[in-house]
Amino acid sequence: MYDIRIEPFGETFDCGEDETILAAALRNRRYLRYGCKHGGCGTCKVQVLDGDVEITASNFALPPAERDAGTILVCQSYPVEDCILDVGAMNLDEDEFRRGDATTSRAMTVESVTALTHDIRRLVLRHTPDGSLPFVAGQFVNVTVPGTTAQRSYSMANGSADIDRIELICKVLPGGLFSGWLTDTAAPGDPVEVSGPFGALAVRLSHRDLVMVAGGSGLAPLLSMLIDLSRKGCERPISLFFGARTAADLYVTEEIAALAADLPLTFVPVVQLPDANWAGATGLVTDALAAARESWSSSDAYLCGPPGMIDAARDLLVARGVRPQNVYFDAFVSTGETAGV
Amino acid sequence: MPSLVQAHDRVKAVEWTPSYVEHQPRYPTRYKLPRKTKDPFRTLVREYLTMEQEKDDRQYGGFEDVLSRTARSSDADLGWLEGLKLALPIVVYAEYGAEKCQSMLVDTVDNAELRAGYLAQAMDERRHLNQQMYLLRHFAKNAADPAGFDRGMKVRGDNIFARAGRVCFDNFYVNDPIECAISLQVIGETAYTNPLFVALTQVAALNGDHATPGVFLSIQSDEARHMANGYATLATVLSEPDNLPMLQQDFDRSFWKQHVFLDPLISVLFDYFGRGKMNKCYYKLWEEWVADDWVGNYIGTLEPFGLQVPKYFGEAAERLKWSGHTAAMVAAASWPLHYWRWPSMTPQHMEWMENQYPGWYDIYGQFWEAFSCLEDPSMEMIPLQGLSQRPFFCRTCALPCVFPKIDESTERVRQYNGRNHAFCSNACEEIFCQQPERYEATILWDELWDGTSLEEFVVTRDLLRADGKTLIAQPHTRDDSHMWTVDDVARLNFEITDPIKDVKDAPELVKQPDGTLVLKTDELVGTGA
Ligand SMILES: Cc1cc2nc3c(=O)[nH]c(=O)nc-3n(C[C@H](O)[C@H](O)[C@H](O)COP(=O)(O)OP(=O)(O)OC[C@H]3O[C@@H](n4cnc5c(N)ncnc54)[C@H](O)[C@@H]3O)c2cc1C
Ligand code: FES
Repeated sequence: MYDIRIEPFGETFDCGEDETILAAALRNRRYLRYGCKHGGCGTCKVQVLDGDVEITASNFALPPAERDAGTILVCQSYPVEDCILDVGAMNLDEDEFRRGDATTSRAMTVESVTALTHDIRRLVLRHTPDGSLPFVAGQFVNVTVPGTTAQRSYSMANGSADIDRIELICKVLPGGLFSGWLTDTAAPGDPVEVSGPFGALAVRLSHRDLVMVAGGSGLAPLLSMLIDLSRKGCERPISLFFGARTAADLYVTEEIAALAADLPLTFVPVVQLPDANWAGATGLVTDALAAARESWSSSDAYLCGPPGMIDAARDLLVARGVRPQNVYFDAFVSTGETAGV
Repeated sequence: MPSLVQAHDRVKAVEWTPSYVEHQPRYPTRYKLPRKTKDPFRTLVREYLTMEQEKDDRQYGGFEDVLSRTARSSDADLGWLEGLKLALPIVVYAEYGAEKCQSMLVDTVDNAELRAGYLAQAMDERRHLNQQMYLLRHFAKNAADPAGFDRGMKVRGDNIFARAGRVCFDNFYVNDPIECAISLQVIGETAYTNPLFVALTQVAALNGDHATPGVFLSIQSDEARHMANGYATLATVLSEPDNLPMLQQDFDRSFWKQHVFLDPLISVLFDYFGRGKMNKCYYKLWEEWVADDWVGNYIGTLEPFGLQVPKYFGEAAERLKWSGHTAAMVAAASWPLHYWRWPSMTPQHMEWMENQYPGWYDIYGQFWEAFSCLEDPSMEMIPLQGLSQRPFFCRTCALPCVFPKIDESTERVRQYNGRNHAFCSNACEEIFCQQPERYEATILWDELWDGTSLEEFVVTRDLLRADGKTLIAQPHTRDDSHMWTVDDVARLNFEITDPIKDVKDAPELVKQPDGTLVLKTDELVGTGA
């Protein structure tokens, strides 16, 4: 057991060697802000003031510069000695911290499951009288896989003005727990437990243009943002790059085209393995980004999708002038894999 | 040293009867009070001034003592101290405007919680004013070259830049009190006090100035509360949805009017004065503190209530890449008009500039090379003489229309009410057109001094050192053997002129029924509008 002291509250709790600091805090009925619990969303970032931790699992949401400056994700960190942590960046007040985990889960029901491509499903969940779930475009929920206690993170893909339902866009992973339920079992009317909303990804107010990059199911939060931006009459120019393996892996393209009618939006679908009919951009999404503009210095970047794509897009955009602070992302790290490491 | 009679006259000189406004007492009395009476102050004046001075000496003596024993202000970087000569009298005026703003708010806002916040802020502002005045006094006594520290307060109304500063900070107490609160608390204090009081504190320390940080950090520790006042005021106003359109317009306008003066000022101080340099230039700090933190976080939280990024924010960001450099160049080119010295630019400093602002050297490097060749009075030339055309001054912001950069101008001239008006930018023109009566009567620096010789300006504005001959301003901070005198200036035969009166046929602005102005177009002419 090690002592973990939390500043600025000056309180200490114990944490086992095989326990993440986040798990220890919650066990001790103290609250630290979290989201995916799997190193993907960056919600649980804190600063180490003293002591050392071991980071054994996925740490993707932490850019190397922050890691070097002593930031850790408490959901992915195990202490190897007594530690002092500063949770100032979480914007927690003392009451929230002492109240423990107040995250509640809500009962929702499946309204529909629609295949958007061979491995992408749109899952619509409807609120029960249990209460609605107000969210900000870019946030995600944790869904408990029915029949298990396992939770999986999915981002809202609909606009935040919808108060009666949430829409998720889910990639079906072979051998995935939630994926299996979604393809084999889920049926309209089925009850589902949902907690959230989580995550700090949101369109930040700024004078700059927006460049959005999505890979696979990573379009979900960006779609939600676009719907909200359109509703607010956004005038900032937006470039959306959507990368897919083949043209058959692209989806909701008509919905995006409809949004482009109201928004200053340039939509660039990018296909890695084009067939003879494909007339659009080809290659990796980063190739298209590079070809589109020499300089992205007047833009803020929003990235969503697999970690590899995010890494590559972030490096390219930063090299082309986006300030590292203005790159916002959610990495869709998968739970099963990282938990298995 | 003024005589007792002079000193007393000076006290009375602050009393005048304004011609432009009728005085309406806020708290009328039933008693009759004659305008002239026996003056109770006269008998006091002799003891009063010496007594107060002695008290000040005693109160601040401890501070002086510590400073003189630890790090003496006379050892601070000479160039940096010149920057403070320029800036402190301007900032002092901002504090004065800030205090006035609180008095207005206390009177206008009928809300006990808000009022308590404003009252505390009023006391803070007075305190800040005193602290900064004391800092000026400290430097006037201790700086290696004190000339100018004692003069800035007196001549700031006659200086090109300090005069524009007054126009900027007038926004803290002219117009609707809520608009003033936005200018001060939401923009001035929330967006700009970090760059001003935190960043400049670091630069001061890097330059061996140990007096300024103590004062600035003490001031900054109050600003969080003032920001909270601003937030509370905004949130209160936003709770009435009807206020939103008006609020957004006031917000847009207020932002531009603070930006247009404060950004060049801070960036000149930050990037040009003092050899000790941070690893970040002002533009980068602005991106973090103003664009990311202020817009992204602070305004971002009010976005759900409908508040939007100020309309001219993008224009400001674009302009800021060069506007500090352009302001520095113009201020250096006009050096004899000022109450501070321009530090020479070293090769290391130029290298830092080029690293921080890639492309800087191509645009500005040549000027600074040439500037250093004209340091010596034997050269008999000031850079101002090399300008093919003198810039006009902007009717809205009162700065010369030289922005964003020398090879790229957004200046325009308009006619309105029988006079020519220049504007430095789209935003300044739009703001003028929204409320012409607010700016129309502004007397710009070149209008004020039109036809005055440089020599006369320097002499009548008291820009000379104690010997009555040597200029306070110099184009270098080198030793005292190359100092320009009033005779050198006289030899230049330079006259201040107001070039805008000679412009013919500028496009005309015409009033619309709602009181705002538009450009008269052929179409309007055709319809006889
Ligand atoms: C903040 C956030 C938001 C997200 N939003 C979305 C979204 O909107 N849409 C979306 O599609 N995804 C999203 N994701 C990703 C999604 O949560 C994961 O992909 C999730 O793991 C899928 O769950 P699953 O149960 O289907 O697969 P999992 O059971 O988690 O399995 C994932 C993969 O790992 C393999 N695996 C399982 N267990 C092991 C093991 N022990 N060893 C090795 N491999 C194993 C599986 O075969 C499978 O291929 C998001 C992730 C995060 C962090
Ligand atoms: S909760 Fe730790 S990264 Fe998401």
